[in-house]
Amino acid sequence: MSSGAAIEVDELVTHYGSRRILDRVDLRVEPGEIMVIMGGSGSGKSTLLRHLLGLQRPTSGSIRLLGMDITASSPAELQALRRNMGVSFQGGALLSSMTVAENVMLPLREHTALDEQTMQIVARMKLEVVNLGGFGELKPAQLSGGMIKRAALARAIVMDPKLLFFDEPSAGLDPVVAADLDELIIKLRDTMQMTIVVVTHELDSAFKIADRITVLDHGRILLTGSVDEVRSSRIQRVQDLLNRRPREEEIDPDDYLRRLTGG
Amino acid sequence: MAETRQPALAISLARVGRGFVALLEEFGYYLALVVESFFWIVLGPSRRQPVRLSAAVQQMVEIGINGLPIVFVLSFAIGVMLAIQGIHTLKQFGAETQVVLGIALSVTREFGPLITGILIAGRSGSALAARIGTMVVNQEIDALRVMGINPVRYLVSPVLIAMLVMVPLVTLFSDFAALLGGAVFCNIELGLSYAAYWDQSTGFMTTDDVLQGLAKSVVFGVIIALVGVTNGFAVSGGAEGVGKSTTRAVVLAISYIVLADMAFTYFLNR
Repeated sequence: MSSGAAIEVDELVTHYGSRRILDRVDLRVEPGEIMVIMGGSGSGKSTLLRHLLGLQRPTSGSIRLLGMDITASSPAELQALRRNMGVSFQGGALLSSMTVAENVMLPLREHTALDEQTMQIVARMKLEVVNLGGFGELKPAQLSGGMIKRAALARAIVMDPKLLFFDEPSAGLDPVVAADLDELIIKLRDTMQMTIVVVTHELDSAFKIADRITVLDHGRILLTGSVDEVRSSRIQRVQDLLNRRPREEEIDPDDYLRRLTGG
Repeated sequence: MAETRQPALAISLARVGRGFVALLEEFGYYLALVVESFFWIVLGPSRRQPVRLSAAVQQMVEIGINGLPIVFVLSFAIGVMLAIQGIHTLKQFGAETQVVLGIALSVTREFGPLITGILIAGRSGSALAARIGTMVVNQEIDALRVMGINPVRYLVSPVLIAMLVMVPLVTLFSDFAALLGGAVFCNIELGLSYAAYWDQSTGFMTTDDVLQGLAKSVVFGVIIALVGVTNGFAVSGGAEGVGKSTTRAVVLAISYIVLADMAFTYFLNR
């Protein structure tokens, strides 16, 4: 089982109420790899991410991060693991009551015994990495969308994590800023050997940064492969996604009638 | 479809049952939250995850100090009001001077804690629900969790400490303000000197009267913290959800305070 993969998801099944969201999902991410999880709205990719982060408990299946099964671990073990994880949320999720620098320092303050000055230096270094040097004293509300995402990234990497997760890094950003962020993701992998998982529906960004891509649809994995493999895939749904074709679902007349009549 | 064919009685019974279960669930959540908050306060330091004193102090300033002006004004007004009513009622028996006793006991046993509880519920309970609710909506709570920072330790424990310290202290302050209000009115209306008013008040009152009020206020503080925090964490549905939860937090907290007050008063005066 634990054959050196950074992330290993096995037969993951999850429900939201009685609705099945993820259906026997298998995923393997190698150390130092950038894995992009792609899929349309409602494909279950956000749910998969929440499970990878240990924010929700699955119905069945296992999730191993750095060799530890987070579905069966104690709170203390999970706590220790989380020092090796960084997450950049879609909206940044910076604590709005604190300055940017305080946000970046927060994991250090809570998990290390470093003195104030060292923490400040580390925070400034990380802000420089994401090109936000000198913005530490601002509040999140004073930053633009792209700056917030970069500040969130600085906070995510402040503990030098082995695993880094991105939720929709380019959503809501203009193309230039989004491209900057893509470069930054690649740079982080190259310089710090992080294993990176990116959840996105932006094709350009996915093809640019991915080592491998997993395509999710209706809670199932359609395909996992390299950028070229995904591009040349013959699976109809994958091609629909790539070519932005609206999905043409066949309608079951009985089902349709039942929905209309509210039965 | 099957449900609509059931008789009305069965449906309303089911609704009552579901409501009761939901209520039980909420109280269970309150209990779990208190236990977990105290767990972190007591055992946090040994697990190298202490509850930050600075966060608690910040909450104390927010809950207590910043609310003092309004507490003073309203408590003073309550004191004056009690004096007016008391003098009006006692005049019929020609016993106006006994009003001091009435004010002293009603204020320390009842009105001080109650007005403080209601004011802090309105000021800080709502702020608490809105702050935590906004954090939920912005995924800040998720962010805390993935950073390995327990949200209860980080957000709830400091609030609970602050409430436990500040609500009784503000209640004491409110007691004094209300007594002062009574004194001012008695001085104007009855010509009673402040010294005489103070002597009479302290002569009537026992430590028990004040302690009874303070004991209540501790319970009120816990109620405000729990209801505010719980409604904040329960937010869903964006900004509108935050608004709803904030309203719910205030209404529930004030309702629980009044009900708890009634129960408290009943048992303490047996």
